[in-house]
Amino acid sequence: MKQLIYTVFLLLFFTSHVQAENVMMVRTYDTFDVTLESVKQSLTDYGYKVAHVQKCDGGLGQFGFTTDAYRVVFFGKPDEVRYWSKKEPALIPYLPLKIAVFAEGDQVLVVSFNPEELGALFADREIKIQFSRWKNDIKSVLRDVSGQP
Amino acid sequence: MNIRETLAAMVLLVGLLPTAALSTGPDGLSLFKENCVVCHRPDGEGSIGLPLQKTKFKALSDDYLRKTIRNGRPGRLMPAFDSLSDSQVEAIIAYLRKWSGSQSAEFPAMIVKGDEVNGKRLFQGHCVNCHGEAGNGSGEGTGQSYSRERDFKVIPPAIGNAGFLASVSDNMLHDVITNGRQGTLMGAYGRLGLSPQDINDIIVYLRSLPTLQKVQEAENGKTPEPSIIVESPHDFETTVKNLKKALSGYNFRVFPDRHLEQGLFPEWEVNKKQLTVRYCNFNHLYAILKVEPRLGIGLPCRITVVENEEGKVLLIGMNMTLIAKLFNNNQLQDYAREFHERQLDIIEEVTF
Repeated sequence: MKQLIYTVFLLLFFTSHVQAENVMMVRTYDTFDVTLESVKQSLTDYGYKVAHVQKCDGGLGQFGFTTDAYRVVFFGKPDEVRYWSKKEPALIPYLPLKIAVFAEGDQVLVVSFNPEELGALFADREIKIQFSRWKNDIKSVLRDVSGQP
Repeated sequence: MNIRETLAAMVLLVGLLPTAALSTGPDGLSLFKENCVVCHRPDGEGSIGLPLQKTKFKALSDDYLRKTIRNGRPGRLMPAFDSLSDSQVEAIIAYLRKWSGSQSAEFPAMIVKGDEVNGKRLFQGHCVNCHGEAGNGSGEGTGQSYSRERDFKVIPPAIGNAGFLASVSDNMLHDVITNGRQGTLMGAYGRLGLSPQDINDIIVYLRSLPTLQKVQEAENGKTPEPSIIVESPHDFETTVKNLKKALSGYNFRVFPDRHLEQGLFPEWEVNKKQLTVRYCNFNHLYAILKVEPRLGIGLPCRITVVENEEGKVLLIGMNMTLIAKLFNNNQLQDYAREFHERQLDIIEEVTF
């Protein structure tokens, strides 16, 4: 039975990895502010904490560059961030996790890395499983934000 | 209903499900929404992907569309949709035909013959300004930008791209160059002084190009390390101080300190020996966002100084060449290599 579960797990993991996109992205038709709030709310619903929101447009605007609204949402589960930053320092630059939200005229794009793609660079099976979970959660957040069923 | 009957009903139902799905076939509109809209927008106006003008479709063959979806554009953002089934690809094409009110253009299969040298001369005289040296694409980025100023409102396609060349037939290329593209900057060169043989020469030249993608794919074959980790010979505070000084020396603006765990734990619980030094050069940032507007997920630039339990002080940064690789964007890779080298120089200065 254990072997069967392991085989199914491997199959599922392999299948999702083969079909993985490097960058996960959705488009919304809400206003920028509504989309940003929706991202934050959805992250909270999936048990994540928003650490902070970086205003990239603010800095660009100060320097005289024209840009639509552009924010980066940093988020994580506190214990996971602490655990992984200690166990695998190479993950530190990717923690907390990030979702970029930027306007494009009257529409908004919401983008994230596919964590599984980064997980593929690590041999540790525990990291791969963690990255796979993050991928599924981020995918769910993007799906919720885009209003897809 | 007894257990046997219930089971029989379930088996029948499960058996019928695929039949029902087959009878209707994949839904082109749903597949278009799921796979194409995010880059091309629902109305086909274009975004990081090129606009899909309805008028353009009558000059495209289904074969070209099919191969474009399958091959993507290596190094130009569009992925190869190799996980879609044949029937799904056909459903998307059928939807595009219905949406644009067009039928497949037919081009007889033929390999044109011509003079590569003359083709190169003509390409450099007529095509390079928009399509770039060796057809790598001119201008910054791809598709069209809604808020960042670029050389072109819509970036002309990279016609030397391996994905494009593998998708387009010689005869379709001949037709495009001869008749231009309605609704775009592409002129009808058949009426602008090029003879049919001149156009053949250009096609032969395009087919002869050593595609940049091949070189970059070879580089991509090497698996980069996800991060740069360097041990500092200095204590934690000195390392942070040196890092900020070095970043200023490289014309970066350094943002206020932020601990890795800040915002996640109450202030008194935050590990103060994990300090993320965030920095930016807004001129560079703007230039890079023109090339890759999604780069925000790699921002802001940062190096984290960590003192671990053994008392070792480490400088840890993201390997931007790896990040660039994830975007399928050759222009971004050029910036990333430069950035990576600079980051290594900074870390070397800090740890000297």
